[in-house]
Amino acid sequence: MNNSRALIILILFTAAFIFIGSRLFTVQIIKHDYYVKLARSQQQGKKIVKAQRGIIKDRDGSVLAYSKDDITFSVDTRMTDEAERRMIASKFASVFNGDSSKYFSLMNAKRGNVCLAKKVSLIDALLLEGYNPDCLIRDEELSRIYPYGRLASHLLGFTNYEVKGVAGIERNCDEELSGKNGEIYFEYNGKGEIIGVNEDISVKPLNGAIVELTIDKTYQTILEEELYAGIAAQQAESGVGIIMNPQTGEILAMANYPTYDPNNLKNSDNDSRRNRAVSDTYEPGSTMKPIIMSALLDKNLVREDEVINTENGVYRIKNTPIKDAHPYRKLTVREIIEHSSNIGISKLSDRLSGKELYKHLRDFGFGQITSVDLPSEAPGFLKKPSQYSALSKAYISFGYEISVSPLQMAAAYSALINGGILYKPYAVKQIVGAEGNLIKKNVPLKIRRVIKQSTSETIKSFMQGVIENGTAQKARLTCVMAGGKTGTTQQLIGGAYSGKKFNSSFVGFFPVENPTTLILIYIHSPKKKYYGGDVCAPVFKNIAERLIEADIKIVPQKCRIKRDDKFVNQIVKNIKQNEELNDEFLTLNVPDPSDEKKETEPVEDARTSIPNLLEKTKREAIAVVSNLGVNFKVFGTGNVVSQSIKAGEPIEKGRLLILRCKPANKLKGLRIN
Amino acid sequence: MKISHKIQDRFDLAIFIPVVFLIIIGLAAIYSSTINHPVAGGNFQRQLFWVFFSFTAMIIVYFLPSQTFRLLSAPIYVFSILLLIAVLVFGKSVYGARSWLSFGGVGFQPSEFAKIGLIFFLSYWFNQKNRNINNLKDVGVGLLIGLFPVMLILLEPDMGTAIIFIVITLALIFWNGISLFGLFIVIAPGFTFFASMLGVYYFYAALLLIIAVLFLFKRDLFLSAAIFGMNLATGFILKYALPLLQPHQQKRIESFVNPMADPLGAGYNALQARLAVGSGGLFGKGFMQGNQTQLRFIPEQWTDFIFCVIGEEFGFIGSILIIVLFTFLFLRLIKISSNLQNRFSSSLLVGIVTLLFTHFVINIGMNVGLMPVIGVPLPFLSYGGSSLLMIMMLIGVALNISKNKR
Repeated sequence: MNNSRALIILILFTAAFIFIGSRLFTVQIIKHDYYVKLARSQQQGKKIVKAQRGIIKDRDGSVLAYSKDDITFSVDTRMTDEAERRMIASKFASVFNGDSSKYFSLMNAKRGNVCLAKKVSLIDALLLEGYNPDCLIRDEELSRIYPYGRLASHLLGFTNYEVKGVAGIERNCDEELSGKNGEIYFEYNGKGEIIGVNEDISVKPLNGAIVELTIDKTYQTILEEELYAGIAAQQAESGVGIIMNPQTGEILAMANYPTYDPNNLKNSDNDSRRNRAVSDTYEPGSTMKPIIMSALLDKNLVREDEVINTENGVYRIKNTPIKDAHPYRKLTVREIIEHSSNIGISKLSDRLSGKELYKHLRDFGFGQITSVDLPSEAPGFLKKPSQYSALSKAYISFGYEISVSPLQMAAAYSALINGGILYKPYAVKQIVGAEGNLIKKNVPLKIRRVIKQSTSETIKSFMQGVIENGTAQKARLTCVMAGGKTGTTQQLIGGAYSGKKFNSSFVGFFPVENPTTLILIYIHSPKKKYYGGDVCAPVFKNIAERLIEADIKIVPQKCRIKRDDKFVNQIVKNIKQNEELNDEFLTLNVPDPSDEKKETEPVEDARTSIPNLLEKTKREAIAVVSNLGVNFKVFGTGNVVSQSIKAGEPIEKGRLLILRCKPANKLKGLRIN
Repeated sequence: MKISHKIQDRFDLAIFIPVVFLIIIGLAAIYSSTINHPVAGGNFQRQLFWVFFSFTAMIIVYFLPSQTFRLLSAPIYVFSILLLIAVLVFGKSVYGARSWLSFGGVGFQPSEFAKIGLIFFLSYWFNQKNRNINNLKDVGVGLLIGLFPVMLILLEPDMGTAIIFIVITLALIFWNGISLFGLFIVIAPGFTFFASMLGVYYFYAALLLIIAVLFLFKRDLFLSAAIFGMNLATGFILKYALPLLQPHQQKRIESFVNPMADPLGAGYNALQARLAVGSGGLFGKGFMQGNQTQLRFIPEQWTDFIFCVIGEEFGFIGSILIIVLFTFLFLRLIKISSNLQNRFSSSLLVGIVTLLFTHFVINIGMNVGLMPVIGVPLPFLSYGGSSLLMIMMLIGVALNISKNKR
């Protein structure tokens, strides 16, 4: 009898064995990973230890951006009892001059981490040094400081709330600057107390690298001060300044207006944060002429002393007039640059095939990004030969139908004056890791030879003539020979060229013999004057003279010159003579101090005499004339084709001015050098 | 050779060796879980002392004359009942249960001692001459012998121990030859009660099942109706019994139904035990390497949750080894029991096996989430003096019976 009952018991044992065994198998083998994860989640806590963001320095080691550590204090209320919370509340109240009951109710509100003091500076946090109850958690937070505020703010860029670079160098070198966050793994016991750190799997943070720029803080300061002064004087809307080493492509300074303070981003808009020097483009105007001229010289298509008929100020291509601001009968090739003759360069540009012109400009870097180590670069616009109209070559030759960024122009001019080699512009000198290891070192990068050495020398002397004899005499420096070229364009607004809004620019360099410094000034919408020679050349001169004063190396002793008073007086005398002299004077080939020609100032003239209204749009003409206080009548639509009172005649009250207009190609409005 | 053969033959190593292994593993697990503990650091030494003390007791019991057990049955039972009453009056309350008596600083649980009394006296009662297990009066008295201590223990209250008493009582009734119908009558109310605990639909299903079985047995209508009425009545016991339980025990029953509902509350221990066992994997994390154990996620792990120390640190292999050792011991005891001519001794062995098996199933069940957490130690392994002493004395009894079996 007992055997059958024993069997039942045996079956029961077997069932229990299988039941428990299979359950163990499920828990320990099949769901092992699940339980491991669950167990680890309660046994281990991970805390990210933020790496400190790297420093940005200028070329001499001045710190332009650094990170500041803040500490945020929070309390894990699960680890506290009421008495302890009270103690913590009174401690915080005494340290931070707060209300003890406020802290106390904060801690009572939630089980878990409660933040008591946010972003306490390191100095304030010292007051809590040594106060270390188990439940108190210190969280270091990083914020970005730009000690010089607005200085080079567009170039440096800024970081977002996560301290991640979103503009400028901060963005481009974000990976290097960020470093690597560390991780600390805590072990918790059954009560939720931290009992230690697991060193085996914890990783120390690697702080961000030090980025050393090619920027010179002194240069940058001078550039910004003078650029802003120039913009303020002209009540202009915006402007860009670049200082570059033409021998290497290093950007020594880069300034923009409007500007902003990266320490206080809230008070600025996107427009003021944009680095116009790389991301905005403009039609360069006459600054394009030396580049076209270099192609002609390089291909032996012109002789330096060749005389070109400049048609006394108006020249028609396919019935479209090309005009010079100051009419000349004839000019030598050199004078075409010096006096910035649209007609001259237009005629010469016809000697280049469309393909040659395109290739030449392409070689100089137009129409493509320079690959500078700054974000948001604009490639500009370069017309392909297949798209050329009959006028394209002429217009391109004096800087229309092409758009360039200021940085492209600075790089192209560097090639023009450094012997003919295009360098890639760059703003980062080197990047050094937090442990002193060199991560990256930038050296001047030759992209290509664009013109011959001899061509470069000739163009330099032409551009020296621009300052000594031509349109940019306001850029003349007292102690060194400089070269440069002015540029003025009407802005293309709504498909038509405006007669009121201009882009003025000047690119200059010194010393002429062996240029160490290239300065580009671009001012958008100046209101007082508009010629590059009036608006930008004086800014160049101010910057250059201050640079020479600040940095003795910039002009070697052998390049220094001395202009005596006699020489200056001679110039003044010549200017007076020139005004009376006839055209023959202008055909002289050899530059001579007596060649000085003062640029006229039409805006001032306009107040006392009738301005030239030809080729202005009807709208512009009305705007100009109505300000003069003259009675006038306008017939037709389009551009002004005739005016009843000739330009330059004095304004007489009561006399009627009749303007006739005809519809015209928008390009017919072009009339400025 | 002859002597050694004789010793081996008489001292049942098949019982003794698994026991020794289990105790050694248990000591290792207690060491691992307490040696770095701020409060329980001395537990390993204390347990070591109890191990020697218990082995001594086992040896003494082993050498007792075989008639002693029969003679002592009634006195032990009566004495243990007196102790159970005493503990309700003088007892010390631990975790809501008044189950500890203190003798000069040494704690002692009378309910452990009462287990011996129950096994002995029930075996004695059913194996008196003229007893007929299928006689309603005799089985009724047997049930009363079992249920009287159960009642006293429920008053402590200690649900886990009470269940063990009930299971032992039922097992001995079964082993001593009750008919199938008789067994049905005895078991059915317990079954219905358990079903009513799970919910009202389970209760209805259980009642339907009982009606079906009653039809199968084809007994007279009056008896069938009486049995059905009895089962129906048990369904309402819960309503009146549940408030008798301590709040922490009520919660444990709830958390058994849904242990994840309140992971930091009553289900906390069950969940933490499973995390420990589950994270052990195949080979375990190694001795003293279980972070769930070493970081003390399971309170008082060295008592009822000693198995999860083994599960975590020795893995699936270690856990299965424990189960194999226990099963081997159970099979050995049952084998001896079924071959015995002496009904009293046979019954004693079955009582011992039932005691060990119930502890084993409930304890491991609650360690791996098969059972609610009801505070039952794992024999040989859990920390605790009176439990180990009681069990080793019963092993002494088993060895004694094995010695005298021929």
